[in-house]
Amino acid sequence: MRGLVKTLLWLFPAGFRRRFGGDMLATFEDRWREHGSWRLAARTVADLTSSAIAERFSNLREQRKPRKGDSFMKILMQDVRFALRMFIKSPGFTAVVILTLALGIGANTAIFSIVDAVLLRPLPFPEAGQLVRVVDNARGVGLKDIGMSVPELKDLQRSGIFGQMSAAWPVDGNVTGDGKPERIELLAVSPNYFALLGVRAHLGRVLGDEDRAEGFCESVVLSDGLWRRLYGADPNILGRKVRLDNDVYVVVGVMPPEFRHPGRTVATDVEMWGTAGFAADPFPKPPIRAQRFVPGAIARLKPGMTLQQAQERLNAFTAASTREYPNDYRVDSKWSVDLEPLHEAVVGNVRPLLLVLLAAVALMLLTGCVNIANLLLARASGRQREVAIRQALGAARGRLIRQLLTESVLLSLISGIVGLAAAFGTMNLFLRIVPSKMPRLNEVAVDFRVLLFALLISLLTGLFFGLAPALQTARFSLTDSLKEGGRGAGRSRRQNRMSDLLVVAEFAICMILMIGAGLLVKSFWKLTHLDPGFNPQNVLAARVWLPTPNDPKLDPYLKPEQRAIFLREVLRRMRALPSVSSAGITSNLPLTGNTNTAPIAIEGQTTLSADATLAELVSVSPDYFTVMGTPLLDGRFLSDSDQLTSPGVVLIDRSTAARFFPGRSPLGKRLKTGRLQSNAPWVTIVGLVGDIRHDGVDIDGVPHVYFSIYQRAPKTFGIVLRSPADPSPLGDTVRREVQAVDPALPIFGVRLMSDMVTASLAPHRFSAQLMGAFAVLALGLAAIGIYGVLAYSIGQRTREIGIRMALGARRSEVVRMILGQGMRLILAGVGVGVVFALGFTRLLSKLVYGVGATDPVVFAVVPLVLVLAALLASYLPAHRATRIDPVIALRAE
Amino acid sequence: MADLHHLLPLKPSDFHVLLTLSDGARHGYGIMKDVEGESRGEVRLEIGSLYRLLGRLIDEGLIEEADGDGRRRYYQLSRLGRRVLKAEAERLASLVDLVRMRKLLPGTGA
Repeated sequence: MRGLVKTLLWLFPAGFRRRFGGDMLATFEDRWREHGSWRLAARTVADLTSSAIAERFSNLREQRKPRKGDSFMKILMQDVRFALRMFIKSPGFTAVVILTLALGIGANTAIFSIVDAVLLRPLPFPEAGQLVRVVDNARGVGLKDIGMSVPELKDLQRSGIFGQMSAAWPVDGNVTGDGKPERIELLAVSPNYFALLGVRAHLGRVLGDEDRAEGFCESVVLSDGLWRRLYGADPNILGRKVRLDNDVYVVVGVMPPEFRHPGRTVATDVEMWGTAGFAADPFPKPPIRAQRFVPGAIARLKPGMTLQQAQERLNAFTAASTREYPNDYRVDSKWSVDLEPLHEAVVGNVRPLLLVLLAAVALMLLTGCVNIANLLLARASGRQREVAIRQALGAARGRLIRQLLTESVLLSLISGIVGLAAAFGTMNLFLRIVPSKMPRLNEVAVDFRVLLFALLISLLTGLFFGLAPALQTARFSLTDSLKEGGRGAGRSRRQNRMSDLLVVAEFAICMILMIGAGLLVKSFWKLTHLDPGFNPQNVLAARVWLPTPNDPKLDPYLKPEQRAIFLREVLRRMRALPSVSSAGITSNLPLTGNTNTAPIAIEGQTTLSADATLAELVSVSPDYFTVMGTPLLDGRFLSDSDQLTSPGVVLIDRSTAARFFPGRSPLGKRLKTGRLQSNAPWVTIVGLVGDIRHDGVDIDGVPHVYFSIYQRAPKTFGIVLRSPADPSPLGDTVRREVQAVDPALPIFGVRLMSDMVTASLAPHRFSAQLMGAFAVLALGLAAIGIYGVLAYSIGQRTREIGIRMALGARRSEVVRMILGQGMRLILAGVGVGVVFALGFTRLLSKLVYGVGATDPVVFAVVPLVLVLAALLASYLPAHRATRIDPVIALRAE
Repeated sequence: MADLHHLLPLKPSDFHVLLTLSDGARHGYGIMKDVEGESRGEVRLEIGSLYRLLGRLIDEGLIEEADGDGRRRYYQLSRLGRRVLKAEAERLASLVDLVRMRKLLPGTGA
């Protein structure tokens, strides 16, 4: 024990230890000899530790400034000590408050960390504000983002409007060579792409001017992920040859792990970058002005030039081009080249979702704050005696408020730390439910800014929920307390009013959240019950991509006949599999974002604008609709006898028929791809099938025209297999069978169709889940709030209720009285909430599907649920009121 | 001489320590026991707090070190300390008188 004390002495400042250390030890020995016990040991340890800290503190203070009056710090320390004592005295209350706030602050911090990384931070490039996306539009015919032709790209690059400009063309390809073939995404860019973004390679070099070529240049840069996955992070990767779609490329660099292409990709992330001039194989040569196959471009504005100024110069540019090439640009199509900040292009579509979630989580915290304010208010009346004594002893009002605020801020700071720890601990779990399509998720991190945010909202929270009770407590005067309370436990009318107001506010906020959640949940429910036009159960999908080498001579699938043979063989093998009941092939697997929209012309119909005849052209095998469970409405399905040599036939879907043949049967009518003047062959419509929602369950897509894979053989296609049982084990078999036909083909995207449907709803599920969770929490808090207020009020009115009952009031009347008191508050809150909700839900209109922002069902049902829940919460205290024994109640005073 | 007011009122623990030392020097453990006894357990000093307090009282000149017994040190009241103790006692007495005058305590009012 002596050794322990000696050790603890080291906690004291050196001067103090030298002065008293020996004597302290002697004193302790004396004491230990007489009273040695574990109790003394514990007291000594506690005392030595706290004294040492106190001594160090007072040392510090003395060094800093001369003693005079009560310094800010001194008062603060005093208040903090006092507050901590108060917390320890009522651990239940403290725990409830900390739990409520920690939940709120933690959730806010988590959502903020995402909002910060995705929306607030500039893109991770130097001078990111100057980066723009260049979009071509043809508003005259209602078309947006129509892509750019190579001559236009060259004109724009030469125009001097931009500092730098690069095409960005995401494509995918098959990497073969080492081991299993794999499908990856390649971004075809102009040589200045990396210089434009201002990024450097992690290994080797980035692409630059030396990689200029008419077609594809052979140098490529790999992403960090691909380098690790395919090449085991080989440090000698530079100079290595990579085979992509049978073309050979040379790796010249590897990008750092955090680099992502800031823009559209095929499906996930770009893993390889190559430069192209887009003017030689595999691109059409010479490039044609009307052929807009470059899907997009990014640019860096010249220093000092605003977006507005650049846009004005672009308008002049397009006007001049339109005049110069009247054959290529029709005036009525109103072709324009528009700019959009790159940041907006990357994250713009998730902004509504994130802002709504941020607002929701903030509202939830607000509910928590209001609830705690009410709790504090109730407690404040219990503390009237304490406050009265302190006032009587001369404590100034300001000083009292300050002390009470210190208490609440301290509470919120502790909650902030707990909440932050919880958010930090569950961040990975949380990120897992965030839809993976959310851009910039890789940049989410709990860093200094997030910490600062957590600190800030903790402080604000503390001030917010503490201010009203503090003012209220300190306002009350000694004489009032004597006059009103008698026993010092009552509450003034003003305090009751304040508390009522807080409950109303709480219910109003809760109402807003619940209506928001109601809309999102209803929308999600609708989506999951929406008929996608096919039956995804027990269907397995897999994707195959036939290579397209830059040199046509290397392409084994160049001719449609070659492809048709391949497809027929694959189908034959699939059908032969024992557990497969039917198998089909389609060029555009639903829900993969793989679209092929093109104009069509219908015999005998001339339309003015091109967009009126846009349709999605899909090639399918005869059994495709059988596999998918899509019904034939009229005519016949495609058949194996529809061959390249036989007359061209197509199926159309219901919406195509409705648009182009309203009220008439489309069977036997003819159509062709392209404009009427095009030299594509006419094909005959032989059947009508149901609509399939290709682009997403929540998107009403454009009409579809279905060709036979044998007459219009695709290069990218999906295989679909229906099985009587769970088809998921079939994935490896599919791979084996396809590679038995061509071992160089990668099979990717092997997934259950039902999983793809679920995944396509991920953003809806995410917002519905989070919003629902916030609303349920807020509902719980509001229920606790009304319960607390009524229970407290009954406690105050015990005597009155006792008298009423003594005078013959029946229990049901007492219950009705209490419920009535609660109902007034609830209805007021719900009413106010509904009004605010009408404003708030407009924010949601971009997130819901098939549900109006003022959906009458939601606006009727949700308030009902809230009122019922609140009634239940008020029934408990009301019921308790009937248990009051008049005799005891009257004797109580 | 009259300038004692910046030292008053004394903290209860300070007061008890000075009071204990008023009839002679004591060592640390002696002070500890006496204070606890005289304050009827109200003031309880563990060694850490005791020595912080002693250090402060020495710095303020209210007590001083007396000769020790080799192993332990003894502390005694200084002249200033005795005056301060007396002044504090008088202050308390006059407060008690005031209370008595208002008949809030049993006893003889003035």
